[in-house]
Amino acid sequence: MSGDQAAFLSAAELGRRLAARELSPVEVVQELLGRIERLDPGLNSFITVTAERALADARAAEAEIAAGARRGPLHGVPIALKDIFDTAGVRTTCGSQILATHVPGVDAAVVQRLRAAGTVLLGKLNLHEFAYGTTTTNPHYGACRNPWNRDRIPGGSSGGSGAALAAGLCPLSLGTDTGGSIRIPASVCGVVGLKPTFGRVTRRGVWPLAWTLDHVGPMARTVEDAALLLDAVAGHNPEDPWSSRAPAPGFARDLERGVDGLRVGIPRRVFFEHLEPDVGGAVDEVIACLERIGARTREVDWPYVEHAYTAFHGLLASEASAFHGAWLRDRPHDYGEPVRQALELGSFVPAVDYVNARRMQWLLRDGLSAAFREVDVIVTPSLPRTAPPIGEPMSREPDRAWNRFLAPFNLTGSPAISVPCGFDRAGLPIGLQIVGPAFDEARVLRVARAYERETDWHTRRPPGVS
Amino acid sequence: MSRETQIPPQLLIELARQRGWALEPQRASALRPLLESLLRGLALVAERLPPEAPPAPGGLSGSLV
Repeated sequence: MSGDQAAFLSAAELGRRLAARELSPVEVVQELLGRIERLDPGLNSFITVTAERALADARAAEAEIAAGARRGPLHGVPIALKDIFDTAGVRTTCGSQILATHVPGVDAAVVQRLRAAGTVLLGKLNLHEFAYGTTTTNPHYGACRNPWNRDRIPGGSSGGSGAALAAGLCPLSLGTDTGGSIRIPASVCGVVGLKPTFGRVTRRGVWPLAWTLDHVGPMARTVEDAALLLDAVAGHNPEDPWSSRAPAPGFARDLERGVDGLRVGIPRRVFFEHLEPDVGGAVDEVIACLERIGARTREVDWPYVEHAYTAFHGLLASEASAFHGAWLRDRPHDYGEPVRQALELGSFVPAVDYVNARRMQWLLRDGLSAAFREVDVIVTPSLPRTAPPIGEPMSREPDRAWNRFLAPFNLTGSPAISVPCGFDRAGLPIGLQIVGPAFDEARVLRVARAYERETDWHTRRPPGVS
Repeated sequence: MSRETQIPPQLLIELARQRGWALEPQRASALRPLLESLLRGLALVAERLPPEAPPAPGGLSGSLV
């Protein structure tokens, strides 16, 4: 194989070609390691590159596949992980100074599952410090840059994942999402990010930000790849008290069923307010596209949603400060300033406000369940805008926070995906959010795939990464 | 806490001290408007809650151990 032939293949296609022995896992890894060496100094998406381990795992995969012992569709396919998943023998920093030398002895449960599926770990990806923020302008490991415009942020907190996928440095990644941290980088980097249902993917061995809001989920360049990666990591873990017992069927099973007759809800209030014009235009075109291919759209209301962001912020701030309390006391100067201030803030939220935020969470879940009796999915813009410049302050005020369309679904635990749906006039990606009822990721993925099939946004590449 | 309340920075400094960590006066002053804004929002959340609304359970219905 010569040149960068595998870099932008989907994981599904890579897996097929590896199985047919048209490609070698070792050569694919060598190609991606070469790209990381060449392109990542300008992006800063990786914190740690596990080159030797990747090559060893690729050789093992090649031998197993050659011996007829293929483990599944992702056998031999490379993956890079947000540096918040414990990896045995590989340092896991959480993007922090505090854990800069932390080398876990045990893999996170999802990392064990990825190993069992035969994936090949390329390395650990940059993130917002402790996943507590949405920019990935990391004070300890450097600002991660958006491949579509290197003066812009890649979003966060899983910003390294979004940047590495968009730049063709890896075909798959796992991220975490507490208030949009998978869907934000997916949106602004022009890739796919799925926050599954709360509890669907085990968090054992994943460093927490806020226990009642944290989700683990796949990031990829295609909807099919996100489904295959979810297949690899979903399912009950008896060692994780938050892990769901709901059956985890094949998430790719309905991908090509289309949307004919499906009821698509449009929550105009809150979710379509104060959009950048190019974002609003792109999402209007999505709605027209879904109607054209057979979906029936209608407006839906969601009572109390105007309070969702504040309730989310109250829970996030309190829980994060509870987790970080000892370090905030003993090592405050080892935090970057924005995270330190956010942790100080959360330390002063009264318990009664925390409980009332949990009560609002219940009302929001109840209201959304009612909406899902009238529609099958809900679509919204992922974000009100495209990627901001590096260094622009990001608000957490409810009417200005750029993740205000995403965080409500962390409160409800609903499955929600961001898929590319266009570009603004500056050439920056725009994302569409599709949300479904709890434990129906298959429906969300089906709608996402139906839209993806009608467009070519997911095939476009950032400048300078070919 | 009333939506009109202004939090004295000294209160934040003392609460931090009780938790075992130091909050310098300039940090307390910078924190105050952010905290007041969040608490105003949370007070509004509380006002809107019907009395019968319970806290959300830890997981989604029927999904947990």
